[in-house]
Amino acid sequence: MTTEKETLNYGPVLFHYDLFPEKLERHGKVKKVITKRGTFALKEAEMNEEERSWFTHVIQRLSEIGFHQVVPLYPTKFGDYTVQLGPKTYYLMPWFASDERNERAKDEVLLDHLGKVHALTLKEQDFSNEVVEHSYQYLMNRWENRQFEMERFTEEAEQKTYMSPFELTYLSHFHNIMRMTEEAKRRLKDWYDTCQREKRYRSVLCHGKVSRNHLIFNPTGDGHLLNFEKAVLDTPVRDLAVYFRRAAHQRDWTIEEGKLLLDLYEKHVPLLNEERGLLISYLSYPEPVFNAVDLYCSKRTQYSQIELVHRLESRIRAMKKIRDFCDAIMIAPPPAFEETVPNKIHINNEEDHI
Amino acid sequence: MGLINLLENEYELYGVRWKQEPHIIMTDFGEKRIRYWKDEEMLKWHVRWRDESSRGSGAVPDRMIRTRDKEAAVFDGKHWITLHDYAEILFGCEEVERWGQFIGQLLTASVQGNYKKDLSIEQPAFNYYDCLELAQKYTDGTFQILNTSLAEAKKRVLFAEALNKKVQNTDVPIFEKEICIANGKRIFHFLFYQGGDSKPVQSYLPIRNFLFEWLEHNSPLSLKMLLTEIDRTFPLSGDHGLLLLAEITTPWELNDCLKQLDNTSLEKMVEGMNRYEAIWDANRTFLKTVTEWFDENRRKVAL
Repeated sequence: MTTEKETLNYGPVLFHYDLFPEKLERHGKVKKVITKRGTFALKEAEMNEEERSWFTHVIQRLSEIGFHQVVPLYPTKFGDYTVQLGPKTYYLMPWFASDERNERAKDEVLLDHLGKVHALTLKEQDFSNEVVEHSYQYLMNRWENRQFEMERFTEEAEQKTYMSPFELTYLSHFHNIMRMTEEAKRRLKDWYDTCQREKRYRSVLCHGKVSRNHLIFNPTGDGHLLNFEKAVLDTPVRDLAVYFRRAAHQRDWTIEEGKLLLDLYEKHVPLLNEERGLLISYLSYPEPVFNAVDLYCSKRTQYSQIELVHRLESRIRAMKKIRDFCDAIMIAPPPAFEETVPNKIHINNEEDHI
Repeated sequence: MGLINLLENEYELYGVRWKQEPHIIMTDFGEKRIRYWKDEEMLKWHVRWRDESSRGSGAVPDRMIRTRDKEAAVFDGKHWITLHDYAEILFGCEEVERWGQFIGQLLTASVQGNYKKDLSIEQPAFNYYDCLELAQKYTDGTFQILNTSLAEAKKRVLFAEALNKKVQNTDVPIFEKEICIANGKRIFHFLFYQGGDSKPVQSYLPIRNFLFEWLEHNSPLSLKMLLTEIDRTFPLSGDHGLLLLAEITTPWELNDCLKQLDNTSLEKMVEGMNRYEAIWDANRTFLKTVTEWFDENRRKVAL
């Protein structure tokens, strides 16, 4: 229900669109705004000026380069695409009602769209030893520091006479977890060596927050991507790793399904060997397990032991699925499609990169 | 094609009709104000200050509504025409923080976007000797206030000059000629500021006048609160604070005071002197309040 206070709170934002809400409904960080002029989605975000300008640039650029499956932003009456009010940033989009019939196809559409965005923005970067060195060292240091923290947690747990159920569960999987960590580090080093040898790396426009929730279907059933607030130029592997890591946590997710989706993606952007290795590296690193340990250390009083153990076990199970998925994609031959190279893979080859 | 048709077409409006020809129209998006511009550079400046000072502020100036081609104005063959929101309910002075935020944002935008290219700007300058000349015919009498105010004005001119000299490398920003409380309207619960279309001035005088008007409607404490709120958005401790203080110290009111005088009869002279005294005293309170605030603020920083 809309209260008068809510209308007043959002009034200064909706004023920029000349909209007067008849009803406001909260859907997470999105408000469904029902007006005489139609129904809209008002998104609330936290972005600084640079991020706001990059965000609107990304949305406009995607349209310019021919990717139209993005939920459009409505300009304000003053021609801006965002409204800043205090620390918050708002933007307005059309409201698309969720359509249960399309839920099953969501992952396929998501990976297909992601592939298209990546293909349209793919660019082989001029090799910069400094950039590669920095990226490698930064990630390696971060991973090693995390690994050290986990080893310390293990040592402390081992010294206890009576371990908690969480500690016991963690310790029983410790060697496997460390093996995955070492595998991730080894793969990262391989990527670094290949980059140094081949003097190449590619970047694309990464969505930055790939999730099923960031794909919605319009009334005609076409999937549209949304929430490009965290979009960034990076290796295509970044988005893939975020997607597959999240997908593996779904109970009914299978390796076969994952392989099919990766093949679907690779119709648009076939991964180079070193990128495949980097994807395996990102996926193998057991960050979700480490996060479960962090949660245990910091908030153990807020959750019961059983909840914490369940969370840990579910993450370990997901990591096992990921490990099998990594094995499967590592040995898989490159997909043999009629057109392995997308037609417009270098759309930005005139120094016109997004 | 008539103006109404032009507006309907360019702004995608329906059912447009005059409410108050030639400035206010009714549209399907509510009441809107029309402004007419002859000088394109001046129009650009007015678009710019409105756009810049709206950023992040809880207050909204009456920015130019964009056409369907995202242009800030349309040309009807004679003038540039701009369309603005319009409101009638006064915002009042109760919400000091909103006014402070708006003035602070206005100062920030003006300082950051110092924009002079091809723009005709006035630079008001106070001339003490002109005032002295004007006062000469009244100084023979025994009106104490006249003599003391002239002496005090001279001291203030010297003090303002010293302040200006201290920050001579800092550019004075450009403002709308008139910034006043009555231009603050209320839409929902926010401050909607209806700007004007006059030639801009490169001077802190419009801000000085606004602060003085604030004191006319409110207490000295409220003025100090307003300065504190402005300072939160636009720190007044730097060079621009000194420029503003110099403008406030300059005895601009001396001109107004002298204009009140009329020595055609004793009665008129006494009446004029009373008004002179009232204006002079009000400005003295104003100067005292502002300098007190600056002193208190400086002490806070020093602590």
